[in-house]
Amino acid sequence: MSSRPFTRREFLSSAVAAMPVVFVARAGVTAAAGSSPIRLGLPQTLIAPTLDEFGCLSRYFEEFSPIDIQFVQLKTNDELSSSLLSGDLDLAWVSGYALVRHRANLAPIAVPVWQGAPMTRSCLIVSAARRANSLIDLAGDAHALVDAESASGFLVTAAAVADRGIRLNDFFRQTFFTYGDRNVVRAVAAGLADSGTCDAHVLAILAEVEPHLAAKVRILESSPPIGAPPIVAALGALAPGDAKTIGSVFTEMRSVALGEATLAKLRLDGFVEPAPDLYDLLAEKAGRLKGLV
Amino acid sequence: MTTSLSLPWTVSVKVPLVMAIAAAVMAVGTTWVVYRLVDGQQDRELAGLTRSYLDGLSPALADPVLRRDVWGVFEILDQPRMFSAPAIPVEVVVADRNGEVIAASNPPGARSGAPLPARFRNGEGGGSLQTDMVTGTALSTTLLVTGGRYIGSLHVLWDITPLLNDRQALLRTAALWTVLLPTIIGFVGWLVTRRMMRPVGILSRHMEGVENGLVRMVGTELVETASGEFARLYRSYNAMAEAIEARRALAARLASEERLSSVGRLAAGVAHEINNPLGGLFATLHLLRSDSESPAVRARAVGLLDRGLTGIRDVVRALLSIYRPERDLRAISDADFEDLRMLIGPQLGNLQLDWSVDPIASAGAAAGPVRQLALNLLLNAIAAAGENGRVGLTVVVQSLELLITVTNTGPCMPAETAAYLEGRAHAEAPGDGLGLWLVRQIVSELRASVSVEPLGAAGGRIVVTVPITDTQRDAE
Repeated sequence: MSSRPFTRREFLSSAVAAMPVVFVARAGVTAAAGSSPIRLGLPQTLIAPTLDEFGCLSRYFEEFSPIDIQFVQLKTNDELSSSLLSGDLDLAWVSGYALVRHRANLAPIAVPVWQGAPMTRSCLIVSAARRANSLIDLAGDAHALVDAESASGFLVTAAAVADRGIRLNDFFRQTFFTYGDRNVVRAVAAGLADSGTCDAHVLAILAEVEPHLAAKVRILESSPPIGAPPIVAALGALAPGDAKTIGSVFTEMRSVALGEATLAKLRLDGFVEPAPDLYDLLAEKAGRLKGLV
Repeated sequence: MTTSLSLPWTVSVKVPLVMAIAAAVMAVGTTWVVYRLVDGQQDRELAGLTRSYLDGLSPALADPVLRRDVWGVFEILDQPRMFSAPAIPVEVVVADRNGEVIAASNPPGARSGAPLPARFRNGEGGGSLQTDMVTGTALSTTLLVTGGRYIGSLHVLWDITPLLNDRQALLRTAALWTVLLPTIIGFVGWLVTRRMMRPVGILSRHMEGVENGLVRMVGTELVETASGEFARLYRSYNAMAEAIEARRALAARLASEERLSSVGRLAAGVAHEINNPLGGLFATLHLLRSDSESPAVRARAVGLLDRGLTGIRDVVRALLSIYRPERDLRAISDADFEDLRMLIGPQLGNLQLDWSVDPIASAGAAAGPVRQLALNLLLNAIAAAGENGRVGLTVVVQSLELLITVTNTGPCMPAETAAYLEGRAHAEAPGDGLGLWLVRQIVSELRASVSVEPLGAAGGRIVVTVPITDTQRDAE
């Protein structure tokens, strides 16, 4: 971080001087000088391997973040939240359900905006040729889920089943985790699972970038909007100023070309600061699971 | 003789046929050996391929199988693998230690959580390889073991049709050559043998001519262009043909002489036959000189002259027929036998003659040779009958055969002579005379058969059966 080239500083202070995030970032640089890099955890598969989302994010942060950020990829939401809680990570892009579960120890600093709102949906999918109309038709299925701390890939369906007073593993013949929304689609498309639960945002992107895969499944049900996966910071891991600075790097992504390109890769409109009640619905659904999962 | 005449054709077919069969047997044998080698090599190659594939997958599967991680197993199985080998893995299934499917590369074919489908069970435990030639698949199985503990099994169904296609292609090629090679060898062998056997064919045809009485020499050009051995054969044949021709000419001359001899033997008798009417004729002349004016005398004299001259004419005509039989091609009739009776009359002396000739309207056999044949047999019989013996002639017409039977008292004909006459012996005619030789020649000419039957003390009997053929009828 301290070895940042002078020319880049000049660029930041002159060409992008009007950007508040950059000024904040420069202040952050000063504050963080001499400390170790901040570790930001990301899911192993964000959307699709072909998109190069991590490369874009990395380049953007390298260029515009005043704080040295080190990206760390982990397989599951559970691993991300565990690492946050254990101090192995400072920040992470986790599921809303992980935030809800560890609300006392995690604080959201930014949330992605998709289709004009910081929301997403959970989708029940089946193979394109299958005749089924609702969740109840899926009883006895082999059902693919994302992971145990995914909101759109687990919580919503688990809560819907729990609403019927049934345990998830009693409703379905078999459930298994695929550790990625795209993998849920693959499992259903291949016939490994009869049905699956995944994120609407990822599904929409797959329909665009891997239409042959997306065409093999269809959406049986979509949930009401739920809070999108936030960027969270472990409480106490960062100085208050650093958390705010990094939050600003996310929320100001739309204001520079590289940020726009990164958002375009992620098919997002941008990042915003999360509203305090954004994850209330998820918290309410998580409450229904207690004693049943 | 027919067998020997067909020799060149037979050889020119049999030799290439044997070569073709030998080539076919060799081709089939070679094919079998090569097929077995390829079969063994492919089996080893397949076993090695499947083993390395299973060994490559097994370590990666241990962890997800232990955790019963359906997606983890599927992701490993779903990895694209490049295979250009003669066998391609088409379905891979991982089962847990209870035999339940954890995941399969083709999930609809083996549902997760369901019992392992039967087609993935080989019943022989791990590490085995079973091939099914009908479906063109092979099943390889290995047990998944970690830390000495059995945790599950890995089953791979292989598409081995490329391997089977290679075998089929080999068999097709071998079958093609099994047919083609003997055909080519047979055809070439036929051409070569035919060329090699050509001189034999020429000799064979010439020999066939000899058999049919047509002796032809092998042309000078052929003799000169033939290779050493065949040139010698041609020259030997030509020498033989010349000898045959010379012998035939000699025989013809001897036959002519024999006829003259017969005529000579008959001459005395004939002179007697002529002398008898001559006495009457002279007496008539004397009568006419003495009383030529009397109509009654003149009429009596004319009658005597007519009968006397007619008798002389008949005797001379019969003698001429014997001398020149080839001019007499008309069909035999009973009148011809009457001529013979007249001709042998002077030879009989004290012998008694038994004579029985059926009326013959048109026997269809040439008169000349038959007369010659019967006359010679009768003269022989007269010579053999001895003093005060008996000689007989019986002529019967039976459907298409003319049976001429000559009998005589006296000693029976020697067996050697009888065998010669009957055509059972091909040696020279026994004895010094040409009579029997001439009989044999005429018998051959008429395609007749002879049977000599000894009658013990009563003498002997010779039966000649002359076929009455259409040809002879045409000659009529």
